[in-house]
Amino acid sequence: MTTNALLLPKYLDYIVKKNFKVLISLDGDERGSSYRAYHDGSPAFKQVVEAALLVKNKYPVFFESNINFNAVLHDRNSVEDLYTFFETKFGKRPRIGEINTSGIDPAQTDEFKQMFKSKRASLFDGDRCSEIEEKLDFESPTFSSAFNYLFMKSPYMYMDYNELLFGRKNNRKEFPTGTCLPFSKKTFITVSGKILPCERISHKYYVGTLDERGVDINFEHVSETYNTYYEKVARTCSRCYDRDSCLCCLFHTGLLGNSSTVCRHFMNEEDDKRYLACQYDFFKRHPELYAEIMNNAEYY
Amino acid sequence: MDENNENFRWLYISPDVYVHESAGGQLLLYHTVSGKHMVTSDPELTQIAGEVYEPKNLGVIECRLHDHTSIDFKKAVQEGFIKTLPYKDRKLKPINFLPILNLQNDFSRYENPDDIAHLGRNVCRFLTELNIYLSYENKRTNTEKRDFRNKVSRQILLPEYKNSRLHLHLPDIENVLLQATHSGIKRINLISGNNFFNPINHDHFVKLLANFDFEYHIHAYLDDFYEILAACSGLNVTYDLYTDKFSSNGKIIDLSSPCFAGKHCHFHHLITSKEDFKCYPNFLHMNGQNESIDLIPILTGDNINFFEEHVFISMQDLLDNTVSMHAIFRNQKLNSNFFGILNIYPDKTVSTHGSPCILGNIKNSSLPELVYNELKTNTSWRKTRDLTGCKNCHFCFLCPPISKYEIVSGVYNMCAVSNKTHSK
Repeated sequence: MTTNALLLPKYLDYIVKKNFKVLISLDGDERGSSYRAYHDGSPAFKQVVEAALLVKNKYPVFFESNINFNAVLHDRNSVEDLYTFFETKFGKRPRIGEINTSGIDPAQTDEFKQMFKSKRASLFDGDRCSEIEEKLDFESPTFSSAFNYLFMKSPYMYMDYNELLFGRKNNRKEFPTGTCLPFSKKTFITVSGKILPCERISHKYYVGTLDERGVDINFEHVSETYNTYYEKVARTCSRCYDRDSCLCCLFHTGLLGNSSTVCRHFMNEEDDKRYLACQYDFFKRHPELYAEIMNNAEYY
Repeated sequence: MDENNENFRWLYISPDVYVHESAGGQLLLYHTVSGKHMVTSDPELTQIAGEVYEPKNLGVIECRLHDHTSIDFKKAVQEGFIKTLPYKDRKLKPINFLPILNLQNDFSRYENPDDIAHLGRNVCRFLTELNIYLSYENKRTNTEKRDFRNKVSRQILLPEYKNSRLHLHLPDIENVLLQATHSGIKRINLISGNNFFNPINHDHFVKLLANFDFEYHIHAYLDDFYEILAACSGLNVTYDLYTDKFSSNGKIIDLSSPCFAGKHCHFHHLITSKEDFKCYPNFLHMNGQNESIDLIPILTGDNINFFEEHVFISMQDLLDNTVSMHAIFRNQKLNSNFFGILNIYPDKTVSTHGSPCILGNIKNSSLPELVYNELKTNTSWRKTRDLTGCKNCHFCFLCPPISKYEIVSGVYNMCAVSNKTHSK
């Protein structure tokens, strides 16, 4: 369950009883969370933190195992701020995401650009870059990039037992991008009853609905829609140097809304070289993380 | 260390080299491309391997070659196990991604076996082959033949002799095949005794199988071939036909006979001794062009010497076949003889291939449930050599995985690779 935590105290006992995994949206300290406000504009920060602390105090074991935080990076916080806040306040490592770049109103592009902050740039801006990079693990953009690199390129990394049994295919990807097939990994249902492939994509890409009459999913339509999406991105992907190993989500490429948009993950030859250099730079700075990734890391 | 010293080199172990250190400190270096290997107790080489594999060194260390004078070190360099690069500047240290296996969704690491449940029905992608035992063999026969063939049935895909007319019914088979369409299954082996084809409607059987796009193999004794052929007419199927010392009945079996013409037939002959090996051409006739016979050794319980001489893996066998890094990794995590294969018996019970343990029943359990049971309990799919007496052997993961012979006999190291004794 993903929530802003405001109703968490009311339903807490039920949620604990049913062993929900809960993801609380909070963007760090009071300033960092200041974009999260009630309809009247007043900040929700205090109530969210109180709700999270209530869980921590009332159900410490549940808090430890079932509560996670999702923070959005923007111009009022940073990777270092977020890491420090959640570590100090809750003893947790947050999931950190950039602002979704799809569906931006052209009239508000400038405002969006001002708010947007890149995770990688924010990490390197901080004084404790190297320390946080290691501690954030997958939530560090450099760590996850290095993991993705090994995940797709290392001959010693196997997706599952079948790949180990039959051998790795030259090209593991059947479709462009690294988008999860709907319902293959998770399903997200919004408060208005829209069914989405995950919580990280725009609600306009819903694949079904849920209401008092039940679940309505037209699988044929979902299949056709996805084929249309793939057709839209396929041309760009075919020119990308990272096409065989890119794991980006097509809903975050920006290509679905406007065909003239350039995919944020597109790589030309130079980009590809830079990407490779970044991975080598990461392992030179953190040599011990190669063994750590190969011995322990799991893609999720 | 003086960085300008020209004697310095970057030293690394080739990523094609599999390194295994035994509890006693002995080191195996095996080159997965050239097939060369060396076993050493040289402290210098052992120390270097340890340092190279230290995570902080990322596969490369700096060294002065003339500090390393041992014979084994020089040999390791000459044979390509250890390599060096010119040293210019410490800041320009190369990196070497060592062969460390990362298996995603590695069930052996799950603290709670029930966590496998997150795979949902998708778990059936691991199911790649079915062995369906259609019926038992219940022909009256002498005890010697019956006992021998029952031993055979525990080692290869042939039916058990039983005083039972039990057989799978067509709706049972249809139910299984329907579920199999949602799995990774490509090949289905049908193991037939003599009492399957009499009671069933042949047309219905053929139509049922033809409805599904699987690769069918029928495994049976050659004795039963004519009955099976009459029942399977028009079906696209491969016949795996087996003969043994009881098959000929004093007559010559002509494998070039027109009755086999135009059919996909594979012939197999079961042997238990050198004598069997010498004798089989006396009663199996081939014209030498279109037919070939696989010879399959069978353990009888008193022919271990024959196995030691002709079946056990020798050091030479290992060295003759280069083992890839992929095969070594595979042997560390799963048993490729058994993984992905389920056996379904005439009484509807189910086991994994390679295990006598019953996982469930096709009447009460779906294929995904049966696969779950196996992934949780590991009766055979993930039975690797490190779970046996082979675990202390350097060649544990270079050897082929545990075989049916070993399961049947309880002897888990049918090899002459190391000087270990057979262990139960």
